[in-house]
Amino acid sequence: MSTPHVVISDVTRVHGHDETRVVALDHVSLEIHPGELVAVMGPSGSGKSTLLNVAGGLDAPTSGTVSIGGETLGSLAPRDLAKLRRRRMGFVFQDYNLIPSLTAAENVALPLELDGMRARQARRAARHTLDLMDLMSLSDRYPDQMSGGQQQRVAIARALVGSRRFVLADEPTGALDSHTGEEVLRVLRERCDEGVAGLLVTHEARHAAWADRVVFLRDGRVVDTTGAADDAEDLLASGGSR
Amino acid sequence: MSTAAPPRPDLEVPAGPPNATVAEPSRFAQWRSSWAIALRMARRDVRRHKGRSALVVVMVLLPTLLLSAVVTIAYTSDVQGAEKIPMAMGSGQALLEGPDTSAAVQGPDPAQASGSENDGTDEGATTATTVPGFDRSGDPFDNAAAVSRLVGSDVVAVDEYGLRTTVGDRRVSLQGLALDGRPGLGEKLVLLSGRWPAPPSTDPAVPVEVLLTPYAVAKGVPGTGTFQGSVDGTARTFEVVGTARARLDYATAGVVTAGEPVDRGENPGGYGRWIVLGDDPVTWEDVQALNGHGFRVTSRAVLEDPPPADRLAPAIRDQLAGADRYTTLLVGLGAAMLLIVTTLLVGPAFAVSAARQRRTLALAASNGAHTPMLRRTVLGQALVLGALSAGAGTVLGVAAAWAVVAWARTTGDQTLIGPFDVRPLVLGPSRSPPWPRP
Ligand SMILES: Nc1ncnc2c1ncn2[C@@H]1O[C@H](COP(=O)(O)OP(=O)(O)O)[C@@H](O)[C@H]1O
Ligand SMILES: [Mg+2]
Repeated sequence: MSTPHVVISDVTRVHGHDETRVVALDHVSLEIHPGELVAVMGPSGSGKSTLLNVAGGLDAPTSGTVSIGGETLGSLAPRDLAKLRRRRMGFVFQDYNLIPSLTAAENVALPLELDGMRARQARRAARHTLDLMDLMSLSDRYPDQMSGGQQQRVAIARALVGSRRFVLADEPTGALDSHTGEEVLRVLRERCDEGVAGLLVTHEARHAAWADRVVFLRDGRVVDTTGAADDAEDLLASGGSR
Repeated sequence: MSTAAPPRPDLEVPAGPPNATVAEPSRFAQWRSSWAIALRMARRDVRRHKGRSALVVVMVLLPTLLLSAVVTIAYTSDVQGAEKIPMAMGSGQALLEGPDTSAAVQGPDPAQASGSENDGTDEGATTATTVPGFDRSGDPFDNAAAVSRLVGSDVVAVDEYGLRTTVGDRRVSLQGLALDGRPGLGEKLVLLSGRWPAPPSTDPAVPVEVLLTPYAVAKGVPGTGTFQGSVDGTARTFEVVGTARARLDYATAGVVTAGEPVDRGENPGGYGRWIVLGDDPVTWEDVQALNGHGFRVTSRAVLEDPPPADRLAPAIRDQLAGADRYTTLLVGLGAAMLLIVTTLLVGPAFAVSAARQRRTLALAASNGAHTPMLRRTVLGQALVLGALSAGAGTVLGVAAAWAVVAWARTTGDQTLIGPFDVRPLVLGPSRSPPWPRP
């Protein structure tokens, strides 16, 4: 039996205080194993993005712990947390994922270079990752020379370059048409089949169908979990999504 | 509530590529490559956003341009140290001025620091040693022989006077140089055409032979024949025998004669100026000996290789130190002004670009850039644009100053005749205030 790559245990995240107090996450626990793609669904404001940010260390939980590859994020200094982000995980957001003044290869090489790797060596590693994902032809293009779907796939490549084995995607298909969106998710699914752990926020059941499991959030609480994505439609029908 | 995952025993986190286990990159490597990224992004951004970059460039460029132009013009208008040699003595060895009745003390350049020995002390200023054969009522030309014997080299007397004449119905004032150029004086006085004039006769009926400078020619003085003029109210006839180029301290020469064109009457104390000729340099020891006779000496050898400060009189050292403090103050003020102006102007311009960069910064942060790396990203742009525009501003400023100086010279302006003096890095060592002395 494999050990979970990501362990989120009993996490609560409270924003603001008194009248502005919002419990974005309420005692949420979740494990993600290598090779597993977990989808998070729920209505707008249910805490999906907060869960993703807490899982990736961009946000700190009010209580509870998150650990990645055995390292507990709460105990790390900002410098070490940044290092963890460079080496262990990558984010893919809804849009504007690529730095406009860098080519695709340079964007993918960014975390390696930030980690101190020489530009040429980092670029070579980036091309290797792009090649694995059949994106080699894009490597010298600037973001404004790529379609939205191409940009998202390059962003996934960056999320997985070097030693990164955990991808956190917050509605990565939200700005794409459905066909292109499917294509991006297929790429994500392939990477997970290669052993990567994935956390995918989406509000489209069709996209959640690519996941191994779907976690439903409502008002910061996990209200349901399906092991098989086929049940997602039923859950949606029961009022999980907007 | 926990959501346990189905066991996937077939899958483990695969080992990363070999380099993942390689020794931790040094802090220096991270520092270097985060700068490399920041500068690369900045360069590309400058190219991508030409309009905004141009705005920032102009904002830094204009003040730098202004300051470097002002500094260059100031240094150009100020003629000091070895720069003054061609104007003071041409190819000669030294320029003597005096003699005072009291013994002189001076710095390497008497124009920067000089005084009378023991001035202001209880015993009073030291009286100068008499120069044998020197006639205190004579003019410098009469006394040249006595000065020559004292110095041990040939000397030529040099004087300046004002000459008034009319061209058509227009009054023209010309600066006259009384200097016999026949011994050969280099750049101080160059014969362009014709022949050297003979020394003026004591007989007022004999025309005074004169050389015209291009400046006088441009003013319309006829290039041949004679013209009427007056010096110190005494009318004389002048006969043009050629043209010449002459260099004065802070004036543009119009005419050159081989001696005083008229007897200018009273000459208190026989005060005058002489250029020392020959091949023997006038050393610092010679200068001090001549100081004892009341002369102030501008010596080629001393200007080119000034004596160390500990060989100067204390009063002179104080004068020079005061001037240095003045320079430091001015340079400091200039630098502070540049800093304030650029901060005031560039700050807001970069705030705009920083706002545009926020998304990029968020991306870098999510990819593991920590705060110092992010700061570098913003700084990178400031550096690229700032360095670019400061450099361009300095170059353009010097060019503008050059244009101003060139234009001023065509108008005959007498304050900008020094060698074009470029010191964009005003912090370079300077031995005197960068402004013309009053
Ligand atoms: N930085 C914040 N400050 C205050 N409230 C926040 C902040 N971020 C999120 N929230 C609140 O937390 C709740 C969950 O937000 P979010 O995780 O973005 O939901 P989702 O991604 O599911 O739409 C919302 O009510 C939101 O208003
Ligand atoms: Mg969200």
